[in-house]
Amino acid sequence: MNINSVGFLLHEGWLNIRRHLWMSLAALATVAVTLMVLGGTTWTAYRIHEIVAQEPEQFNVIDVFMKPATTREETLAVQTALKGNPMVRAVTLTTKEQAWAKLGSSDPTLTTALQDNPLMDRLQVQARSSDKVSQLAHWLKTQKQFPQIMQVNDADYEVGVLMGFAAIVRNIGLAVAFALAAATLLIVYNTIRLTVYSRRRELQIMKLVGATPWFIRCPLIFEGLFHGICGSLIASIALIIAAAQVSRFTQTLHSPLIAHASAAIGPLQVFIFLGLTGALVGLTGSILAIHRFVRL
Amino acid sequence: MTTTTASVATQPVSQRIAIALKSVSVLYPGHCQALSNVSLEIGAGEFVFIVGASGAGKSTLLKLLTHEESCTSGTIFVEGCDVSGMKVNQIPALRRRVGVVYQNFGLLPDRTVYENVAFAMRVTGAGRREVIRRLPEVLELVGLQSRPDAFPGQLSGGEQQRVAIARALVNRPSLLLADEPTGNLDPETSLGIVELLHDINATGATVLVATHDVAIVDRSARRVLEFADGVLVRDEACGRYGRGVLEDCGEAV
Ligand SMILES: Nc1ncnc2c1ncn2[C@@H]1O[C@H](COP(=O)(O)OP(=O)(O)O)[C@@H](O)[C@H]1O
Ligand SMILES: [Mg+2]
Repeated sequence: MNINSVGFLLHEGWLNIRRHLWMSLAALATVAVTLMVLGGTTWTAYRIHEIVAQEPEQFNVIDVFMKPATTREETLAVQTALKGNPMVRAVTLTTKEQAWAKLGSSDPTLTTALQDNPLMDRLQVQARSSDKVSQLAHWLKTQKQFPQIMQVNDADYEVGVLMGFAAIVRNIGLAVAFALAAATLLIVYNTIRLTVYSRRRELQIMKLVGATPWFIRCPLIFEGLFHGICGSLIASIALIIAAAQVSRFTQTLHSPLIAHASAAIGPLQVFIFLGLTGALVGLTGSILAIHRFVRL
Repeated sequence: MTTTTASVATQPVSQRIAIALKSVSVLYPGHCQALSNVSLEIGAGEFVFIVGASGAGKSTLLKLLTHEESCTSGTIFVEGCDVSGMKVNQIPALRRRVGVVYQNFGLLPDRTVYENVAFAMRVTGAGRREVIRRLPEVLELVGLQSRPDAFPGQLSGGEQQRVAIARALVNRPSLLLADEPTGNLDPETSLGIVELLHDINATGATVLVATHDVAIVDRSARRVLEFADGVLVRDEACGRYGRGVLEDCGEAV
């Protein structure tokens, strides 16, 4: 297969598309929309997963409040003892005086009205990893070793809910993405089937004059790739624009978490992800259709 | 090396074997015996008519030679290649050496005469330049040099068949197979097509014509193979369509 032939094969592939132009455009539009939804779903699922998986520190911390009568020495001893626990990464002490001062600076009327400091020493215990949080909280709540501990507050419940939610979103996202990829594949498959039908004379002549099987397949594979790649190009551009719009809106909400979660998508990532998906789906669709409908 | 050269040199071109069938049978699914125990040899450069009633097995014989059908038993040699034991990836090379022409022309209706013929070159890997060089001479050979831009629908049946012949010849095959090439044509046009086939044969190509056109066979006075229900029943060096002696057989092989 020489360079001359590549031009010829591309031209024949283009003739295939032009032969049923409206069908091709409809297929292209469908592929583009499907890939766009696929890209959007995948991106959303990825973002939610990322928020939970990559910023676990805020859910890793357990608040331990000491009984009011506890002396500073006892509190420091508990802090040291907890630091020695293998499930613990760090223990930060906020003394009741510090808490009182902070409260006073934010709400002076309250501290004046209360006069005496009713607050307790607080130890913020950070778990070594997010999967250790609930185990650690359970241990802190049930231990008898440190009778000075009054109360243990953990984010266990919220983490569980969020993790579960993220998993559901991700699984639904994956299922939807998979179904959409399959739908795209079927569209390409059907388009190639139509081409094989409308070009049966050409295929017959190619066989009779001794074209090699690859020469016969090539224009059909080009056509499948064309749908996959052009569809993904259109989908990428649409998705990038849509994500930029969403991002611009969420920046105005003054919520760092939402802003981070909906950050504009990197164009290169989208082009690569959708381009590869589109190419793979187009290639697979055309190869399956050739296998099924072209007798070589 | 020396002996090979010598043996080729001592063998006249006309006696080289182009096609050899040994005890070939074709059994289609459904127990239809299309060919039974056919053995024959055709020399390079011969012009042969294959005659017989419809369903006699003429088309099947031609399809065997391009491996469109494969035989149930026996061996087939085309230009020295064992077609019956051929691997799938060798079929394209075989078909490039064998041109085929059909009753219904098989042209692409949305391509011009030029494009129809060029198509056969391009799909076998020829470049644009080769096409530009080769096309005018092959169109002139079939007498269509003045109509390269016509579409098949704008041509008469005879002209369409000439395009099909040009397409079959464009890759310079050594063997040309024509299955009922005049089946859709009126008698006068048919004679023109047969003359063209004779001209092609005169340039050295082996030509096989399957037909049940009595007139062209009788006028041509060439070798005739007659089939009946898949059996080769007659092989005459200078025959006519039916049985009987042909007086004027001077020029035949
Ligand atoms: N693909 C096929 N499957 C089954 N039977 C076939 C097939 N092709 C041809 N035949 C049968 O084989 C016999 C010979 O057919 P064919 O070679 O086409 O005859 P001819 O060309 O002489 O008219 C016929 O009886 C025909 O019905
Ligand atoms: Mg026939």
